[in-house]
Amino acid sequence: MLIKNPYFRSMFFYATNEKFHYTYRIMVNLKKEIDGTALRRAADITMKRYPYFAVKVEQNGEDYEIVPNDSPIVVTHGKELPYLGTEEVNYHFLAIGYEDKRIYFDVYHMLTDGGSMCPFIKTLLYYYLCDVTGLSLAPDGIRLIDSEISEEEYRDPFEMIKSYPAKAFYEYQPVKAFSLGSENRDTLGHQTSFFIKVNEKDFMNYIKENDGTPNAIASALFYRAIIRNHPELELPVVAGVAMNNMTVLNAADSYFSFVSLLHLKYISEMKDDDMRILGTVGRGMIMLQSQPENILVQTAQKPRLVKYLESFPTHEERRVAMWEVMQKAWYVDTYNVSYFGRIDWGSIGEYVDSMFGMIEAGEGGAMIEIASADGNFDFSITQSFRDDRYIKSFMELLEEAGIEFSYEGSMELMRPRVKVF
Amino acid sequence: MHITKSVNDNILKLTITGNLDVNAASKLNEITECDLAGIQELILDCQGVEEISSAGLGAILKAHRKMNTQGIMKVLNIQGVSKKIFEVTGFADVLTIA
Repeated sequence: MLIKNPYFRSMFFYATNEKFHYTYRIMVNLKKEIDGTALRRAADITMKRYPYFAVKVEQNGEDYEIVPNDSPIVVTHGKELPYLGTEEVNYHFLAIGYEDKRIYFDVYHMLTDGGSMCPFIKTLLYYYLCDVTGLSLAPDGIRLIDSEISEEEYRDPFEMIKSYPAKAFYEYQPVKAFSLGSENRDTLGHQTSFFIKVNEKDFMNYIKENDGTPNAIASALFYRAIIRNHPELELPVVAGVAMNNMTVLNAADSYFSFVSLLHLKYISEMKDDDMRILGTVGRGMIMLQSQPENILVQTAQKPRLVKYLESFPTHEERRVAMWEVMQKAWYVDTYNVSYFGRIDWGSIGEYVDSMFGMIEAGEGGAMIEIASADGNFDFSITQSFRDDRYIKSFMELLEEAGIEFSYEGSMELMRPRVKVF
Repeated sequence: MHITKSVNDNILKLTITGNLDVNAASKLNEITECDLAGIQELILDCQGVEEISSAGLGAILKAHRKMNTQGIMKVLNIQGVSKKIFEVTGFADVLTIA
């Protein structure tokens, strides 16, 4: 049930470092003030249902192991950010915080990704809301404490692969993309998150009218927002769209984090294209790049990465090598887009106002996290700089398209740090 | 939208006119599933295609994948916005376009 596969173990041990804490924060806004005592109780119950999230790292001779962690999950009041993997959070890689009407879920990305955290969040909110309301809310679609932990929840995708294709169906050729950082040097390094709630019905209609998907249209709108500020731009703008490989690998419900990036390239000849063309193009690029052979060829390379890392004698050298690999793979796109998918809150939906994911943007880039549930698309746009001109243009575009939205403010990026060993 | 079929030995030519939208894609998918037995060359003549949607791209990709296992598919006379869409998406790199 715990992470054993050499690839996932390597990612867990080496994919974070002092410069880059590979973590994220999910902020769930409820409609009423949070009761910390009830939240504590709900957290304890929920951790029992998700034992694969209760882990710590132990030293075993020269090596390290991911082992069960029986200590309680830490629930703290206030917006202070935890240091995951350390004593202050009982060595867990997941911690919970709250203040006012907000609950924070602070997570090490190599424990699990945002999509796989959603069932956990639903379970926790269910027990919390049953407790504070005194109601027996309908449990449909929620993993309860006494429900079976199915093998699908911790399925190793590598075990599902029968054979690998000789070559990819299509290989995207990386290009030198426009960097937002090059135009925003004054405030570069001040990671800032902006929050926008978008009417789900309006946005879905707009998506349908323009032959898109949430990912394709969000990418195209942000591209338009960039062009509005840089009309003379010649360099291509590239959106790195996160794709969960687990669906292709027949392990869609597994908690392991296995995401790759698809690249939506907008060239200067597309500046004046209407949104419908951008929608079709976006979907076409997603379609072509997400063909199963492409994912399988990428997956086949993972054991080679493990071998490469293990060719370095010390853990610290492996971490440095991993950082170099990650930098080459990631920081080539202008911005990134990640859509959690639609969340069906079920009976707890009427108590939830919004949910925003926050993760560090790549150097000079921006990270757009999107969640949809109960009438809204919740956009969290984190930039690696403070300037809000692209956000303003993004909202202008929504307004011009007749899409109802509300700006929910901004804040300095809040994401926890992590120490694996 | 209209798709005209003509068969010559083991060559099937489909002449598409109008918009390659959801309806046309559905028809193209039907042809891919039912009419390709024994066909070694599939020609899509797109001279009359005005607009192409993502469903149209999906149908073309499906036909291409099917023909990869039994012969070749060629796309002829793609032009205008459709040609641009093929080029920027990468479809032009995967398909045989003449």
